[in-house]
Amino acid sequence: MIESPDTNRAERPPIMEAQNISKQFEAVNALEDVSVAFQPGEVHALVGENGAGKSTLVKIMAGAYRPDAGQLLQQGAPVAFQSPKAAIDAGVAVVYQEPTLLPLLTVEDNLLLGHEPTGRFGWLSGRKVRELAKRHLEAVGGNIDPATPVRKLSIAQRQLVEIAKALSLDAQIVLMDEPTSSLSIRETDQLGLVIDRLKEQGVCVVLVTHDLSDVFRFADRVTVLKDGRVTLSKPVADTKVDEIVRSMVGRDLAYLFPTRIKPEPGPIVLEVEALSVPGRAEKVSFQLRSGEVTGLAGLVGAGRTDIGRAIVGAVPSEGTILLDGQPIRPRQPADVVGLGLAMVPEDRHAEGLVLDLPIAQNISLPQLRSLVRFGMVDVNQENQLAATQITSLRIRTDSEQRLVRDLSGGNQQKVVLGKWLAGKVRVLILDEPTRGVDVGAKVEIYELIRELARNGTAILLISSELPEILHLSDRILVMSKGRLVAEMENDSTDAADFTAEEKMIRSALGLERGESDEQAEAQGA
Amino acid sequence: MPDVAIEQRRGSIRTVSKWLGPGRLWLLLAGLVIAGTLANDVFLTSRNLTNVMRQSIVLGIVAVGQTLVVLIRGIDISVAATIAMANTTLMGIVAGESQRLPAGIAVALAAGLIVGLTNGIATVAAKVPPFIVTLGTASIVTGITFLYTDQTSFGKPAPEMNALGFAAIGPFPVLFFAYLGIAIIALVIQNRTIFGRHLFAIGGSESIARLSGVPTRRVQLIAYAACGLLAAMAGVAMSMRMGAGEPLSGVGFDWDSVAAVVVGGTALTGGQGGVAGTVLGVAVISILNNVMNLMAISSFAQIVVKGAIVVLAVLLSALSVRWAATSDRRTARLRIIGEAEAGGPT
Repeated sequence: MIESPDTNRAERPPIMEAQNISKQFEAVNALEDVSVAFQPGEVHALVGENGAGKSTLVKIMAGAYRPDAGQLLQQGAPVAFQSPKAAIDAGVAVVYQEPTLLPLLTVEDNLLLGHEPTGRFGWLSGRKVRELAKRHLEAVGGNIDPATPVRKLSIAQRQLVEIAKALSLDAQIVLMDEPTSSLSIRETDQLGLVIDRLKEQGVCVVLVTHDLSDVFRFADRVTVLKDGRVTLSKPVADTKVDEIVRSMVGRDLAYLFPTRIKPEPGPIVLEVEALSVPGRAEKVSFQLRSGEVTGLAGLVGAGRTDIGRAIVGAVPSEGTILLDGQPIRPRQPADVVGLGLAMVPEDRHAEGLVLDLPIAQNISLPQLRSLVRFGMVDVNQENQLAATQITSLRIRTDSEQRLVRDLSGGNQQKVVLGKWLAGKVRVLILDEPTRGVDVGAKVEIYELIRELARNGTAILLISSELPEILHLSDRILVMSKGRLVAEMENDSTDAADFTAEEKMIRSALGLERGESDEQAEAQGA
Repeated sequence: MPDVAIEQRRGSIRTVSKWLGPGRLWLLLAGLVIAGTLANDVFLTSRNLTNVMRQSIVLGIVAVGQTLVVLIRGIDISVAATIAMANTTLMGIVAGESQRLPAGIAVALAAGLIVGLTNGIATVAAKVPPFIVTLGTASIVTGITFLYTDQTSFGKPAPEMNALGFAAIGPFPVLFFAYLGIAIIALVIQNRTIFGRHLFAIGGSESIARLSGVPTRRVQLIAYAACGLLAAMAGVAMSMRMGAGEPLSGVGFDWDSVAAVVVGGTALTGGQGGVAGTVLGVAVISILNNVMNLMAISSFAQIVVKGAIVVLAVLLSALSVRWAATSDRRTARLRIIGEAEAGGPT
């Protein structure tokens, strides 16, 4: 970001240029008259909320979609990719956000899928595959054995393999869709080295992200999309966080979190005593009060999700769960639906939603029984139920019959919330409710969480993002390696006062990180 | 770290089973042979084993083709009809004349290839589920065969055909070598060619394979075409021992071939398993049939047993997937804990 790419802009033609591109899906304009140029040796951040059109633009450049209007220029000449393969052959590599690794195949088979090296007589050469895979893996520095099946890798390792896969194509332009969303800080540094190397080679790296810390860390130029239009395109050196956020959401960063007024503690609704999930969590005890948000902090794998699952009966557990002082023994999630106990899972695709069903049928799923008239589901009532949730959660859709698959990530997450809020929920467990959700939808979900608490719901908020825990929770629990290691009241309601609480959580987790990391994290929120 | 050693051992087990099939099937096979030997004196005679091999030839050839299709998450239930068509076409053309044999074989194989290509084009281009497509082509092919033969025994073999069909080198039938040859070629294609890799990739996820630049349509088309061709080859092999073309000669080979593939450990959800397992699956089914015949178990009861074996195989493979997932989660968790203790992932 020190040497502005604008200086040599006139001399070299852009590697790729989008000219007045428009694309429509159903009735929705995904892209409208978008023009962006991507220069060689440039790291170009493409930011915007989910649904702003970033992914659509990437897919057009990658040959997965064709534009309805406008054209794509490569080195000044118009191109029209008919398939992903055509784009790959033209030197466009993509690291997709959704996993594109086949879990059953080994790392090396995945890396070279689609462009396998051939040995003599056109046979697949195992030795060459191994050598090439090793080389590409070293470039991303993941210390990963190429012969391991992908299903054995952690999410972060998979992400590195995804990147190595894109690099193995010797591309002129590398499109990375949310590459840091599942990487740790150290791995993100590693990614920075990879990006630097690509820059030196004159490759253009396009970073699609909604994490603004990525922009300032890596990018030379930033282009902001909002509702399918370009609202800002500038060298990163000439802009600030505030300006980018305003272009993304049309509001200021300071208002990301709602103001929290600490409520009078309500009656205890749910009490957990010595709850254990074999191998995952041990003897965890806490109470949830009506009207309170209880934050559950900890690292991935600390057993937080398992505790939530145990409470709703999704995993077998030992110990006591008391609802209104009465012991309950849920064996399956269906047992607790009628009791007003619900959990919104982290992985909404696998556990929260049926993607190919309309919004209305997803929302009505847990309370179908109450919608039955004369042995049949009352469709009118179902639609009404859905319409109510769509309005109150501000789900952006033109109809309750729209398939959930067609919604953006933030709106999908709101449908999951609506699914549980449509019934009478007294205890709501939220597992990473804003994972993969854009800034605008995050704000709405935060407001919703506080609003639910105001209306008397007891909320358990599981989150890996400290700012979320600190801003939203009335009480904070910390888990580490399966045990509850700290519990504290959160008396500070102002962003400036969180230092004490944050220190306690960090020390409870045994985490002490450098200042720059904390800043990066704060910006990432 | 011990983790790495375990991983390497698992890696070599995977390589071995890619070529020789899963170890549990070898155990099952050994168990069956022991049980057969104990249950009946005739079982372990060379004459009976020759018989078992003979009976596995046709099923084996079809099942190899079926494996290719199941690997890409497809299914071909038109193979039974194709076998009968190849059989009657060959007999009809040859009509007892030796010099017409090459032409007869060529036409029979071409017919099988056309059926396979039709299946492939319909599934790939029109995106119709393969079950429906092949159900339809099965009906068409059977109908054509009935029209051609008037549903009676048809045509006549050339003398060379029967000679080849009954020929044996020691206890090994010559056609059994043909089957093994086909299986080995398929195995090499599966394990050592890019096409083979692509089969597994498409079975794992068609969209991911496509985004990775795999020519998914071409690979799928070739898999279905190969399956049709192999079904015709099975029909030709079958003709070598028959006195005439039988319009119903293929009956049962549709489900039996799927059963052999499933027993052999290839998941119906695609992307796992392979030809080696199928060869073992064919052996299991053939030996089981043989032992039950020797023990004079009623043919109706045999059908029940065969069905139970398939259900059991599917159940076992589902369970092993679950066990594998549990152990993966455990290792992933250990890794996370280790990383947390080491102060971050390495």
